Amino acid sequence: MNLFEFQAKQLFKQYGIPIPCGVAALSGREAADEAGKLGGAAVIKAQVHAGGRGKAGLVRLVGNPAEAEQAAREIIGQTYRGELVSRVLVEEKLSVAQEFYLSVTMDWSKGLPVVLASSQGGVDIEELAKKEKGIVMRSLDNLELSYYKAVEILSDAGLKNKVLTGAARVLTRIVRLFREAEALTVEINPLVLTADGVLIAADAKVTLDDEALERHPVGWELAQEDAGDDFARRAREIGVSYVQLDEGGEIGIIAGGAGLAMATMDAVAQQGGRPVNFLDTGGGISRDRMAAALRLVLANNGVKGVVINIFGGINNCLTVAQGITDVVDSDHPAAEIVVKTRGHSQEEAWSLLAKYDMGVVKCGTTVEAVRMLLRSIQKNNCCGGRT
Amino acid sequence: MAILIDSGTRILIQGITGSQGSYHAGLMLECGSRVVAGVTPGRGGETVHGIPVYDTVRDAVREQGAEASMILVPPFAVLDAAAEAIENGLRLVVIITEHVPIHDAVKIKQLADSRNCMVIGPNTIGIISPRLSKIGIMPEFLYKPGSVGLVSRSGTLSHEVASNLMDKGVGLSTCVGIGGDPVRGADFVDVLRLFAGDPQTEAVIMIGEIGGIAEEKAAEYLKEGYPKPVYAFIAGRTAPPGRRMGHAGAIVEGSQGTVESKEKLLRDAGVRVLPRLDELVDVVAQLVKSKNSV
Repeated sequence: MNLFEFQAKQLFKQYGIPIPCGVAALSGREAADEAGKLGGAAVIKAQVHAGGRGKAGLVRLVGNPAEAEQAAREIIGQTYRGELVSRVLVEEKLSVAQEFYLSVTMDWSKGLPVVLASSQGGVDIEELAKKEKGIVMRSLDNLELSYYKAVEILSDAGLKNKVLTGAARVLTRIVRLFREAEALTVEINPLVLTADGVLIAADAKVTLDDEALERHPVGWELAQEDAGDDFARRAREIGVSYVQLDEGGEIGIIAGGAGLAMATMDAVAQQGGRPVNFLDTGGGISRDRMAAALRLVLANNGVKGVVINIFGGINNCLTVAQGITDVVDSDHPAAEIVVKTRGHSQEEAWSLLAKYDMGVVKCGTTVEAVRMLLRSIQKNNCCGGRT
Repeated sequence: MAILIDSGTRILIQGITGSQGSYHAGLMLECGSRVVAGVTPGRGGETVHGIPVYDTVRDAVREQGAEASMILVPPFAVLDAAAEAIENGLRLVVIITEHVPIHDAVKIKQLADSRNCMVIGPNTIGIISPRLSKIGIMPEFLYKPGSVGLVSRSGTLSHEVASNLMDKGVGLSTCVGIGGDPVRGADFVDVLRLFAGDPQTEAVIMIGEIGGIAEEKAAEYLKEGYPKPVYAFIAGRTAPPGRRMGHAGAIVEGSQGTVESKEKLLRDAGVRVLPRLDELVDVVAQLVKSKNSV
């Protein structure tokens, strides 16, 4: 789960990492009020996950509350790279003397965290990595970073004197946050040294491990704020993994297991179909949840067919079949359905499905199931509807 | 011969008294696995399908000589269960549970590495050496015994490949699910190494997917030379970048972890990569049958 900047800064505050004065605002009015409290001059920053907001005009300097209101009004409600901006952060303007880069993130190749530091913050991290000696990288042996190691890292990055020790303190604190909040990334870019010699995290990026959220009360409150779109929310309620693909797609995909879902999606595309979504039921799906998952997929406008590809390993074929037939019995969907299911309780499942007008693949491949579905849709198109 | 497990492997199940635990314990017994004990703290003295339940792994090892464990406990309980198994000297721990927090997986992996214990998973179907033993949840009637080694990040793609091969009369020496999580115990390399030395295994199939660098590491290892033909399929070529596709580990970030980059490195290492699963099955079936008819 990606936190918004204002949420990440709230966490920073709890960990003693200095942040600018600022408050999130949901409207122009609120922005004006908050700017007033800051003494008029402020920075209005769109709260979005996607990067590059500065260049897109979504971070604006203002000189008084009226300008703050104007800027907020213009920014809130915009859509930036697929995200609707619903908040701005109204923050004090910092006088910047220097900008550093600090982060701790998971190095998946080692299964351990890696710390990155640079004395040239404020630029795109990928640009930084390309410059020779631009970035110091240090792999950690575990989930901790002692103060002296932080000093070593930042000394290698070229920092000295009080800035060295101050930044080292910030670095140990972000690693502690990383460990205690179970983050996958904590990034400060830039860590600003102000004209007054104070270190402040001007921006904050935190990504938390979704699987750990439930055991962190703070994380849980923060998660409620990140609703996502309608389909995503309904998918979460059903308890399935859902990714919306091509809006114009016509083939719905329901599979048990992410690998099988991806392979089914690949097979649809390889045979000239357009997948509209990817839905992974996961293991142990119940009859009701199977029905809800099918209904969710059918709710996509333009779905002409659904391929359902589920093994009865940790799932049960009959339970899956019952969920499917419940939907067909009550909703009479127009879309073609092909079911490929095999495993525990397969015979009972096949008997049940045989009573319905849908394609069934018993001992065949995913490619066959997809081919069957695409053919029946084509036949439908030619004959103008179900016979 | 198979790898990792055979008919003599003494298995304990942590979480045996739960609904998943007891259900799969029964299925494992049915296919001949030697499940000698279950462990659920506080339920020592009970039995599940005739299997004695203990309060601790320590007791299960002492009383029944358990050497391998299958963990089927809820996500937040996995770290403790794995630590208990590893620290009590088990040589193999199979973690079926999905949604294990990543920091916990990091700790489990470190602990296993320090104690010479092989951890399989988390988020895996487990291991099966057909007709010999199963530490896992796969429907064993979809897995025929034979000479092909199968190692996969996706459990259900394992079922797909195994069942499709079976339909063509081809079987597996051992199937190992390394799981769908980004931080895992055994990796492709660890299993490939074992298959290399297994006389029963004639050829190996790798099933990968987008995200991470497990396939890239395998390619590096295979480039040094490998004694058996290796075939691979990588799922997710049509997945949109930046979106997590189900598995915690399946996400393409920047240029890392794409199907294209994985396939290229594997091909350069001598692996026969097939873009379609049905092609993979056909090619391997042909190879095995031609060897058998010689």
